[in-house]
Amino acid sequence: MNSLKVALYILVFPGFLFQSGFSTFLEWVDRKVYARMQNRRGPMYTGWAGMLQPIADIVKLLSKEDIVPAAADRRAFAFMPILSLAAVFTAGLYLPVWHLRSFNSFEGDLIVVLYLLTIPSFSLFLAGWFSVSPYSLLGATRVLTQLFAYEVPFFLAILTPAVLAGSWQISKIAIFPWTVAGHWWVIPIEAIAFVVAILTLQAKLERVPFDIPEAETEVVGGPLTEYSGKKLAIFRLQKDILMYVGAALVACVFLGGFGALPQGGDQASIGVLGLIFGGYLGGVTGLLLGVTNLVVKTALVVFLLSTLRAACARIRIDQIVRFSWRYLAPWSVVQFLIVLLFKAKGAV
Amino acid sequence: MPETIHLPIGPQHPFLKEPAKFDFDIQGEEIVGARMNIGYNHRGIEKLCEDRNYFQCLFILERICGICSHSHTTAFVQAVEKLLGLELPKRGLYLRTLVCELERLHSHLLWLGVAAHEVGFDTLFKLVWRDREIVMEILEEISGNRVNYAINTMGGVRRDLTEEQRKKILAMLEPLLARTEYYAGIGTNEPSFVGRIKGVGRMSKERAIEKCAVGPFGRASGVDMDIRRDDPYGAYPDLDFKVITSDECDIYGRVLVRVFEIVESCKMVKQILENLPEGEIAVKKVMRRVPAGAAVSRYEAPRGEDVHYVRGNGTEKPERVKVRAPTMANLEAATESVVGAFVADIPIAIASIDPCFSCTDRTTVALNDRKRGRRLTTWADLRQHGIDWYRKNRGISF
Amino acid sequence: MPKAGVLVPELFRNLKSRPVTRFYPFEKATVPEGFRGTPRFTSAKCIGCKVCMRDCPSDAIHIEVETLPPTEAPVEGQPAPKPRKKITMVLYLDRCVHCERCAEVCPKDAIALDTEFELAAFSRDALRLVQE
Repeated sequence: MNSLKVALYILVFPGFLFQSGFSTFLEWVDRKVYARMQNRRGPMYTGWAGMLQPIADIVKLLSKEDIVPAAADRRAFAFMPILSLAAVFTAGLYLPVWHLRSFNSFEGDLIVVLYLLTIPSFSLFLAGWFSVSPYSLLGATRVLTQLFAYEVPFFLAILTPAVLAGSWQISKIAIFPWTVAGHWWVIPIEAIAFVVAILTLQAKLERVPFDIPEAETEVVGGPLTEYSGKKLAIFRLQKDILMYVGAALVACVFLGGFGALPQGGDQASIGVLGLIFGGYLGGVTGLLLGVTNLVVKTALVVFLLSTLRAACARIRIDQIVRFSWRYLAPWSVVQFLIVLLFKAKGAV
Repeated sequence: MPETIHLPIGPQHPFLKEPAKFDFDIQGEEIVGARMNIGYNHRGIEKLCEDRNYFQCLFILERICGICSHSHTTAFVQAVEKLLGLELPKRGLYLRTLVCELERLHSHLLWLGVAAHEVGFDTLFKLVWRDREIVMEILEEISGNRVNYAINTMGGVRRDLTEEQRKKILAMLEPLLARTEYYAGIGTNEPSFVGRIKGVGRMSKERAIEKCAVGPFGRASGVDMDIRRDDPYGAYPDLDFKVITSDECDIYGRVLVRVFEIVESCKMVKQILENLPEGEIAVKKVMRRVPAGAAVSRYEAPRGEDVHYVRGNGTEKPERVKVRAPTMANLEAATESVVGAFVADIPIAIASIDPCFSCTDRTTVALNDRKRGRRLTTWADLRQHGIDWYRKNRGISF
Repeated sequence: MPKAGVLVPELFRNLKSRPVTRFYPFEKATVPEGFRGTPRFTSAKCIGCKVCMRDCPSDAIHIEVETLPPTEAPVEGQPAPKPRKKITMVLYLDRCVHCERCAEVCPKDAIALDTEFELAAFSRDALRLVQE
């Protein structure tokens, strides 16, 4: 019975099916917001208000011809999309979508998630490397250069709330603002880290203004130039799930996770998703509260990412390295110092 | 020492709107060598024109390019009118110039959107093209189509403007001026955009003159040349306008020049509409057979100086039509301006000349026929020949 | 001095306002009155001079003049009326560039352009428009 439960957790909820479906919903939100900001309509036709459009795109890609360049290493070429999807999907399993403690959360799972989220960037680099085409090689080197730029501020920004909460477990960090002393005011303290996290998340997701590796007008498709058909579909799905995991991570760590009640909430009364397997005490209200929280908070983060995408041009690779080390890294260190000061004064 | 990789761009590439081939030698992200190759858009238009009468040629030449279609028809029609010795009625000239300036408006707005797209600034692209729709609707109202207006004919224009249309256009133009100033603000203030265009694609004034840069590309490097002022045609002698130049010598300067030219064109359109004279729109009887002779006509297209050469031989069909589009003059300079920059700068540097490869592609056949005494002439010899001719025949010394 | 986020106020304003794009083809596109669409031929006015055919830049018009079989005289002993002509215009829509030259040169105004522009078809034969 237990292994069946685990299998369902991994494959259905909060595993593969849920992540695929919800991340395509978030992609729809992104596309609609981006379009409306530009006075356009966005996806309209597929499904209600175009909600099935991202799924339709992936299904269409699955049916297209799969071409592998002659000089490429076939097995490595085919393995890269699977590697990145597996890494991102596993990272998603540790997010507290289920009962505030994901089904196997443990002390230190924040580090595991951050580590797993680096793998997609490396697999993108390797994908470009194994494609053996000038555009892919250019794109691949850009992925690594960008990684050197944003990784340190990203880690610093995400680890700041962990230091504040005194724990490396995502669920503990998420409920920290709602625990006994009612520490909801830690949320505003971490504002700088939040801004840095949003910017570096945009860089990790490789979206404008940081979409240098895949700049359409410069290197055609970057590392993904030679990918087509099913492999490209998997990469697309991986991008969506990465956006979901990144947004959910930021929402858990900064915005108080998927529980809505302020002021000294009881752990059991903090809303999380309860399911038929749950036996969760919150009942129907808890379930609804959890779902709303999940949708609202991740959609809010995605909204911020879309605004950033709509408001900027693509910057050059040397400019992003300069920007990152000149502004993002110092500011995240400053935020870290602020948090240490608060901790030292014993206020938290 | 990093190794040099050869990066081919084109003929198909997302940044190119039309096929062209560029070959770059790159070391890491820096460009150390650049070459270009055109000819992918050749459609044999000059040959087609030899087999059609002048009126048919008008519509063929219109389709050299979609964005500067009116430029090509006007340049051609001016050359033929010179051969026919026609004197145009004022109203016809004004209406023709009206469409000229509207075309400049739509072309510069198109360019601003495309330049924004090349640097990844898709929002500015969409917003500028939204406002460009105003100009397209005005043109549809006047001429019956959004591109390829077919408004020129030998001796004037084909369609007249009613009073109601005139007022409608003046009203539609109002918001455009305000939006253009808003875009000027964005283009000069958005740090991610300015960071991509400032200091990129440098072309000093001396080098621009050496490489024969024309149009806004040359004007942004300080070369003060504009056919509308230097060799006026149409209604331009009656209009009051400024020629915009800039000393920035990089892509930022080209953005500024084009945006301020949009403002000037809006003002010119207003002047034309407010002072539109009454009268005929075209010369009544136009001979279908054009007397023998040759004529050259220059026109300030949105991209620069457009030159048409027409030779007639007394029949209904022209003997030779030659088109020199402005992009032909700017392309070498653009390829050179990219050397020393980053790979990321290639799209915006090439796009900053507003390339129209469809306009550019013509074939040249070099004849080295010793028996008939034809030979290849170099640029220096040609220039010297021109200087000597003018000294001997016109008494002008350069 | 560049100011960051200079576009953001407009983005939020656009979120609230109505999109400018039309939901074509479910929402029809409107064209102004003088739009150059498809040439329409009125056979009764045509005199068969073929000037339109001569001046079409893309060879899209073909005028066929067919002499109808002679009819009987209405009254006995009177000369039979001259055989009538039937003039048909074959318009190749895939060659027409909608320049309006045919309408401009026709001496009898037998051609006029309407505003029909949605001319796509699935076969080339469908684009061969015969107008009688």
